[in-house]
Amino acid sequence: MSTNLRKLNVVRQYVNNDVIEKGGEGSKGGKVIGHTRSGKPVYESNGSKTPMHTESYTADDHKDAGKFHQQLYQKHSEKAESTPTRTDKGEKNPKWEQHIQTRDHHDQMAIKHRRASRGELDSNYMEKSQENVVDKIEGKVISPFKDFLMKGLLNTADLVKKQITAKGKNGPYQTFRWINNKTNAAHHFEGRYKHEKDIEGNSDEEKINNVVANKKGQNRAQQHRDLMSLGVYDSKVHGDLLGDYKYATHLQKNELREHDFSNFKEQRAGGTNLPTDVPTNEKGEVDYKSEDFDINDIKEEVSAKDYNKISKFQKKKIGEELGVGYKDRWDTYNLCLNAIMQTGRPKSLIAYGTGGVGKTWDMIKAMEENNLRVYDEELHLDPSEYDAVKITGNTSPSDMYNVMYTNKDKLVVFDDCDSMWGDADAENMLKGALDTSGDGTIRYANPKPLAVNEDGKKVYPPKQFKFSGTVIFISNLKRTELPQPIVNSRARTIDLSMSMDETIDKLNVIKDKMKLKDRLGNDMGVTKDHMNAVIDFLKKYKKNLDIEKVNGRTLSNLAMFAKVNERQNGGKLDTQKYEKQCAVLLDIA
Amino acid sequence: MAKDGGEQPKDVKSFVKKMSDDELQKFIASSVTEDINNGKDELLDAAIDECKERGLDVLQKQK
Repeated sequence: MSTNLRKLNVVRQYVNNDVIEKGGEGSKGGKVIGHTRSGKPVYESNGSKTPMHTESYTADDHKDAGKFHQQLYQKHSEKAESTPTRTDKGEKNPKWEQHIQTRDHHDQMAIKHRRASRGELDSNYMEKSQENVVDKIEGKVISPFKDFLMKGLLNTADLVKKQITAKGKNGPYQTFRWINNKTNAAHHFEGRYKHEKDIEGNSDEEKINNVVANKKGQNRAQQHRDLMSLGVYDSKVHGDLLGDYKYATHLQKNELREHDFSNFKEQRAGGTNLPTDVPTNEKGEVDYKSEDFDINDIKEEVSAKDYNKISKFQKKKIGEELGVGYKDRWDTYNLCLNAIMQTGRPKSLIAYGTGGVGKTWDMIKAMEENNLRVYDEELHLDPSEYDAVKITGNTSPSDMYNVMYTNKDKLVVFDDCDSMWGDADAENMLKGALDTSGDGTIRYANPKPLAVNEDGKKVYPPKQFKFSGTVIFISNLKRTELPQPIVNSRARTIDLSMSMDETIDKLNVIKDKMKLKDRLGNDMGVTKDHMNAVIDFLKKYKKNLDIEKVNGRTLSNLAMFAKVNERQNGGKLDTQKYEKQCAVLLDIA
Repeated sequence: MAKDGGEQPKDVKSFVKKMSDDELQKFIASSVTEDINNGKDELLDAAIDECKERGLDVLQKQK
C-alpha cells in the first residue's frame, strides 16, 4: 500500500470514528458544565443521546468550551491516577474505569472544540469535507484534505533524527529527537504544546533533562507534551524517561490524533538505557573514540537486544565517519577470504548477518579463484587430494571434532551449522583450536568413531590433537547469538547484516550474476527483465516486507513467477497481477 | 612487526604488499567498524604497517 493510500485510510478511520450523529438541533438538554464568555451553555456531552448545541457557537465560544472540557479532563486524569486500578479482589476498579472513560471523553471534546474553533469541523463536529475523502481514496478528486495531508507528509519528510543522551530515570538514556533538517527545530504542534525555545535549557539534552527532572512540578501530561515539543515521539521513550508508559500511549492514541500524529510513526526510533560508566562527549553522545570506551563492557550491563542496538548504532556511526558502507564490508569479507586461503591468516573467520545474499556464493567463488580443491564425499579422496572441506547443516560437537581431526591441516568451512553453537563442548574445542596465541590443541573426551576397519572394529580419533588448519564460519545469526569467547578473542569477525535498502541494492548486483538452472542443469529461461521485475517489486513494497524474507532465494522464486506470468499473458508481464502474486508469496497481501 | 612484537608471517606481508592503497585503507576502515577483538589480528597489523610504510593515513575516510 502506498504511503498516500495509507494516510488516506488513516483519515478515513479518523472520520468514521469521529462522526457524531446529529441530535435534535437546537433542543436543550444534558448536563451543563459551564458557559462561554458570550453566555452560551457548554454541555457535558453531545453524543447521539444528547442534543447538539453548538450551531451558534463562534470560534471564541468553541475555545471557551474547550477550556471547560480541558479542566474536566485534568480533573478526571488526576482522579484516575489517585484511584486504585484494581479492587481488593484483583478485579478492575469500576471507579477507576469511570474516571478513565470520562477523562477520555473530555479529552476528545476539548480537541473537537479546538478544531472547530480553527474551522476544521462544522457545528456537528464533522469533517467539513468528509464526503470528498472517499472520492480521494478512489483517486478521483483532490479534496480540501489535500493540504492537510500534504502538510503532514511534508512535516515528516523534512524531519531528520539527532542523537541525544538524556538523564533518564535509570541513568544515561540514548535516543533521538526529530528536527527539521532546514531549521534544526522540532515540529511545533498547536494547542497545549510549547515551542521548543520556550522550554528551559541551553541545549537539547538540558531541555530534555529539565522536562524529566520536572523541577517546576508540571503535571505529567505536560511533561509528555514538552517531550513531544522537543521532537521525542516514541511512546516507549516517553515511558522510559518519565516512568509512565500508560499515559504516553494515551497521548499518542488520542490527543495527538488531532495533529495527525500517524505521520510521525516513522519517527518512533526507540531509545535505550546506557550503563553509567560509558564515556560520553561534550554533546552527551557515547564517545566511542574514547580510550575508556569498550563496547564489550556494555554487554555485561545491558540486555542482548540493547547491546545489539548499541553495537549496530556504533558501527553505523563509525562507519559513517569513515565512509564505510555495506559494500566496503563485503569487499573486506572477500579480501579476508582470499587472505585466509592464500596465507592462512586470519586463522579463523566468522561472517555473520543477513542470510541468502551471497556469503556462501562469495566463499565458493574465492575457493575457485584460489584453485582450492574441495573435498567431495562421492570421490573418496585422500587427504593429499584436496585442500578444503565444506560442512553444511546440523553438526554435533562430535561431528565437528571428527571433521577437524580428519582435516587438521585444511581449510574447514562450517556453513550454516548454527546448531553447534550453544554447546559448551563445541565451544571449548574451538577455543583451543583457534586460540591466536596457542598451539591449536583440541581436546574432546568422547569422540565418535571415525570408521569401521576391515576387522569390524571401530576406529576412533585421538582424544587430543593439534589443529593447524583454518576455519571459516558462515552464519545467519546475530553477533550476540554466536559464542562470545570465539567472536571476542579468537576469530576475525565480519558483520554482513544489511538494511532493507542495502539488501535490495545487493540483490540488484547479484541478479546479474545469477543463472537459474533446473536439477538437470538446464537454463530455466529467466531473463534480466524478470529479475528487474522482482527488484522493482521489492523497491516498491520495501516498507511492507519482512527483511528476513528478502534474499537470493526470494529473488529467484519471484523471477520464476515473472517468467510464468509473462508466458500466461502472451509474452508481456502483467505487472498488476504479478505484484499481487508476489504480495501473496511474501505474505504482505 | 606485529602488536605482540612477533614477526608477521611472510605470506601475510606479501599479501598486503599486493593490496592497492585504496584496498588497504578500506580494509582498515571497515575492520575498525567491527567490535573490538582481543586476539591477534596479523592481517590487520600487517595492513596497518604497510599503510605506514607507504605514508598513507591509516584511517582515511572512504570516498
